[in-house]
Amino acid sequence: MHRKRIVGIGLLVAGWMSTAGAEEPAAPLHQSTLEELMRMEITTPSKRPEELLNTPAAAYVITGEDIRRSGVTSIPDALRMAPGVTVSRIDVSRWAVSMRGFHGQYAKHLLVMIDGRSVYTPLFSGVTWDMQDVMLEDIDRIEVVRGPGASTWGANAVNGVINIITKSAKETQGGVVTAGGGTIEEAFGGARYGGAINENTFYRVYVKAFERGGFVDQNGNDTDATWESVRGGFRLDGEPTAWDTWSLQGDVYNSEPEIAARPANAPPGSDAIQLQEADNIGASLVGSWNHIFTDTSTLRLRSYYDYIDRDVSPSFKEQRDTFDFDAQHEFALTDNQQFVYGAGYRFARENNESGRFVTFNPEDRDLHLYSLFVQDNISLLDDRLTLTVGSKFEHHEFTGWETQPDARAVYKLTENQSVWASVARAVRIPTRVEYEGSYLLDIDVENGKPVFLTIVGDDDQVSEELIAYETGYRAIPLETLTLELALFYYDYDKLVSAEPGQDRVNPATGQIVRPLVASNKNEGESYGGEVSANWIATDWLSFQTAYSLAQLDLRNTDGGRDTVALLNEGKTPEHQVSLRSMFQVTRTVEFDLWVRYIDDLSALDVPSYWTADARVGWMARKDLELAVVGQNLIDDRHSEFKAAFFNGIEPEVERSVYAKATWFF
Amino acid sequence: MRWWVPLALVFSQWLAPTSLANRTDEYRLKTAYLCRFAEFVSWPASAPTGTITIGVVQFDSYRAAVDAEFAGVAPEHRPCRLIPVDSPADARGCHIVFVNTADRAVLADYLASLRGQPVLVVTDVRSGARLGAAINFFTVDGKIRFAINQEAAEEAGLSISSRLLRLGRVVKGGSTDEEPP
Repeated sequence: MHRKRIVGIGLLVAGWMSTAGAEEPAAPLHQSTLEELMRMEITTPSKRPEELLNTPAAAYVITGEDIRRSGVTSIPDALRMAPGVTVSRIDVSRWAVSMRGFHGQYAKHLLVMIDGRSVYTPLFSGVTWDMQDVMLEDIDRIEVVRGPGASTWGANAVNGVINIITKSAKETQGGVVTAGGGTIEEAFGGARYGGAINENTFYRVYVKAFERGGFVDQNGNDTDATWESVRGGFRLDGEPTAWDTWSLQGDVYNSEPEIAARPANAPPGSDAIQLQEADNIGASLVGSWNHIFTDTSTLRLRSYYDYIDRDVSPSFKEQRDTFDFDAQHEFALTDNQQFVYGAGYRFARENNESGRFVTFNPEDRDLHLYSLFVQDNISLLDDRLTLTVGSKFEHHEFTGWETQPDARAVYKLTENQSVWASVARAVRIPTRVEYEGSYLLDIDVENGKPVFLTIVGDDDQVSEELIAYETGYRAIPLETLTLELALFYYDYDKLVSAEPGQDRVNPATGQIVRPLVASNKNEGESYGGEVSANWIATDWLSFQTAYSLAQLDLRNTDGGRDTVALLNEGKTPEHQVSLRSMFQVTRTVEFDLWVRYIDDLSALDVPSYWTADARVGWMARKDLELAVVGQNLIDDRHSEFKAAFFNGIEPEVERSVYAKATWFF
Repeated sequence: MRWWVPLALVFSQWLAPTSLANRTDEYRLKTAYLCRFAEFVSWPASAPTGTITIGVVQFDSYRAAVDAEFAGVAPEHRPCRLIPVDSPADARGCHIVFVNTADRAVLADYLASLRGQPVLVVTDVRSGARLGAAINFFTVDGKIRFAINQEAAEEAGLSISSRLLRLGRVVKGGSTDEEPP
């Protein structure tokens, strides 16, 4: 997938949203010098619809404006806007986020990055959403690409890739202060200030904090679990010459979510609740430099450092330092070929501590990852047909060299319609616990006694493999209407299975432990697709709609006897619908409505549900925005997902409301 | 500028999502560029004299921007004149022709027809300068940049000043990128 293509969609959509009423500078521009002209920024490049039509993948862009108008307060909730993405709130601080199947808290096939920094956790796979966050007001866009992105982004970009991209410091000049509170969003506030160091260098600093709570159990009783988080950071952006840009950004945070669980010794039917507080600390530093050689040749360098200290005692402790460096050069190979190649290196040092539910063997680990990347974009038939072929070659500590190629083609049928198709291979590297650790999966009750189902890692583990076949159609029948259809067929091999071993008794506790050895004896297919339409009906009314279908078919192979991993079939909703509207009622009043349908999760006994969010925004003064947001308005409460670690508590999402004030200065 | 002006401009996006006041319309900016380019180019004696004439292919998409740019400037004070061009033959009387298209075949037509003519060919076709246009616009991070094919300009009998060469990116025609400086 070619990075800049996706950007095009966002710009295109943003362009439509902002075409009316752009004010022209008073003085004629031709009286400015060339140097002055070169400093001017254009509204949004009036990209011809070609940019969107030339994208050979199923891609969706959530803009900063979408986030503001939807009233969401977290990144995972914002991701509900994208077709093909499934988001379930598990409790106050945890979400399950996945794309096209294999739904779960540790959705193992989805790569997520924030400004180029991977937030995929190699410990369990998935993203620890109770740690990763940004100031939502500073998000420029979230690019959501369904389908393997492994040929560009590397392993674990199996079912999809999510890129969260924040605005440059130049785009966030001035101050914003936000404050508010409500039922689940009990109290929150944030402040950001941006300024200029000189005419080519800009900065911003921010701080953000919140306390959330308000979740109930399956009987409607308050779980009392709260989640406090505070974070701060900065970003610097510079343009020392017309041909160079650089940025440096950093964050530090502390996040303390509580988990409500039944005490281990509670009698059946007990309402007792025990709260366990996690203590998470983290920091990151990301630097990037882009140099433009010519109109067709660019060099991009990026490096980051990431620190995580996650203390979820007595379960386990995780401490990891990650250093990453990535270089990419793009140039025109011939008149019709744009070639990109790159190399990367990542080093991670883990100093973990085993606990009651998760063990690591060894606890301390150094992991090296080397990667190379090539991609060729070939334009044929007077640019009507574009072929993209590329591959990533990675060397991973556990599994050695991995080759992840893809081939894509997009063909422009007419000026406003195109079709695309792709075939790609992607792998998912075994996680640390699957390779050399163990974790408690679930507690079954047999003959009145608890049986601890424990996944036991095995260093014979190999990577899970996917060959993905995708195709899609796009049409822009009107300047204000985009229609997209994407279909996929995924063929998985060597999926992780959990092979039951001999029950044994833990001598210390007398408990029955059933080891389930991580192996690669499952395979299967998934298929489905998404239909989406974006329509800007008038200056003051627009609609964004999406329907997603995903069906998963898994089975044992090679004499495997797994039963638990096969349950993934029933953990993904088959049908999902998202209907959004943004309505500018008057010049200062906005009314936004969002209705969603999520199908049932049969393996978890979670019923299907309809829900709705609504937002009323009022620009009370030129520098003050007030908003009231109601979330999950249809039912008093509903369940979105169930997880074993609550030991009998099944947190549910209640109807909630919050008010927010945003002051600009 | 007072300290709060940029802030107000940034947040005007939020106040009314339909306004992006601190940014400039791309077509207006390109119109200004086209006018300014003329100062840095010397035409041979065989070129027409008088006001710089800039022919624009698919002029309709630029009409509003051109009108806005020259509104309030008396004709005698305008440094250049932009006119519609519908075919390569139309372009022969111009100093500059802006081949405003994404279609390489259209650019190739103009280049073939104008070979040896004292016309500065500007375009925004991808890799346009390497394909033989003297100047090619491209966009980087919301700003307009340009690549210059000096050989192509010289073949047309034009000379481009060193100042313009410094501001743009000099590329060679042919099959590969210029090596990084």
